[in-house]
Amino acid sequence: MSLIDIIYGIFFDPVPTLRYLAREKPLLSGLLVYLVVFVFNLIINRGLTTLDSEIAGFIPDGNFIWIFAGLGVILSFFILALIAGLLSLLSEIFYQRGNASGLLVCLSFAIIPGVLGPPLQYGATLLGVSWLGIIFSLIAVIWVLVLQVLSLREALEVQTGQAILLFILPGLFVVLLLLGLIFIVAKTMPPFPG
Amino acid sequence: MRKGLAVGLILVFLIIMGVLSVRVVNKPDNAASLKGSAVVGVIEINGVLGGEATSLLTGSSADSSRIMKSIRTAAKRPDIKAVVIRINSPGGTAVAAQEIGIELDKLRKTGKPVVTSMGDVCASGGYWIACSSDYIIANGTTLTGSIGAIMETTNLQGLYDKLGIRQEVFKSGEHKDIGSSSREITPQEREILQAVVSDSYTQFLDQVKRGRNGKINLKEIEDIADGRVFTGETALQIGLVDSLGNYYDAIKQAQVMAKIPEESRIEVINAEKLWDSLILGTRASRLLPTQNLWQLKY
Repeated sequence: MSLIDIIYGIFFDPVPTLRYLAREKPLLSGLLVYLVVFVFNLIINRGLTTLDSEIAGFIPDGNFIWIFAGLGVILSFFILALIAGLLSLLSEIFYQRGNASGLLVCLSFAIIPGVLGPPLQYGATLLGVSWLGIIFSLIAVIWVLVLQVLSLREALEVQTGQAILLFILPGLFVVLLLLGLIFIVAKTMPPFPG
Repeated sequence: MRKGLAVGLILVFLIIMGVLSVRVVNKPDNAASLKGSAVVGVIEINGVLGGEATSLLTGSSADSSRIMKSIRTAAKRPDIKAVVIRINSPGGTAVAAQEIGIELDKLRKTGKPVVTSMGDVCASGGYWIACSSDYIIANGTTLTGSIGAIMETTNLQGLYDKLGIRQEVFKSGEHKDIGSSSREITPQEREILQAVVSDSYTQFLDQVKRGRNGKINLKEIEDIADGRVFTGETALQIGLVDSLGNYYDAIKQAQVMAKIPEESRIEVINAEKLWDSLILGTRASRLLPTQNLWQLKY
């Protein structure tokens, strides 16, 4: 499959495409696509902030933003790898199936529809229908989330329900941890006088 | 073929949006023109007025060159229909106030209304600048006024004597070392420097007379122009300001004067950038005196 085939496949025929990506693992092109989408969205979002800002002067200086952006790119790669590794590990623990590098490639490509959200929102803002832009962005986010679950399913060869569970497990763990911490703090805190 | 066309169309759309976005990011005024909205430009003048700040060590938070540049930006940009000058300054060097005032006068000639919003303090040189606006709004407790000029020198002769320091001066003319800190000032020198201060003071009176024309007459200005400060409320009674209100009242006044809708964008043209504030935090000028030994100040 060429890169054009993969991009087309992610949009219009995701399941076989993700299955192919999980098997073939074109890591370099996956990370490149991820980088392009990330940087592109960054530029569009920056323009959107400027366009939509009531008080434009309060937007931090351009150069400074780009320093943050550079750090953001590096951090996002790190997080992407971390998530792929963590989910693959969880899958190995629960379902005895792991494919970290395949999952990493699938997750990299799964972000592609996300490239449509900010530009559509930008266009809608220009046309004075910001609300429509927000809906477009939401649709793009949901689309990416669905593709991420499909990535899990295809890369780790699990059932859809298992993939969903794996997908929400880290978030669920964090929420439970926070609730537990709040509970412990509330229990150990001395009562207020009176 | 079909796949290539679909991906190509998506790419073309993304490229168009990317180009539009980069245009806005590189030049924020494009944002307003793209959206077709009017902008109220805000120029902040905070701190002691000073000349050009070219290095981190001598930087001033209200250097005239940067403020003038912002005023010129406001004059050039077609999307900016009105300007609010937010002043929080006790004054500073006479030239800095004068330069900013001149630039504001040029801005007003373009037909864009200029409204001054006074913060905690808008005195002396700060008030000079305010006089170059069409409308002045002060808060009730703003400190304003302080119309006058001042020049200070420090005679360090006694200290130098104690330390055994003697300054050797080679001068081309009698008054070349006027205001020297190493000796007592002569009566003739006192006369010369007083004349400079008086001339500068007269210029200040002219500026107030021009700026507050029809609101306060010269006699009334002279009566109060002895350097004293007033609250915003007293200033309103005297005629030094036009009304009482806060920053947003000034924005609204600018919108009314420019006949633009209330929902128009507000843009702080010379907003202190995050990076600037980090640098400012390390400026030695915060710790060391920045003035020369003698300087004409409003």
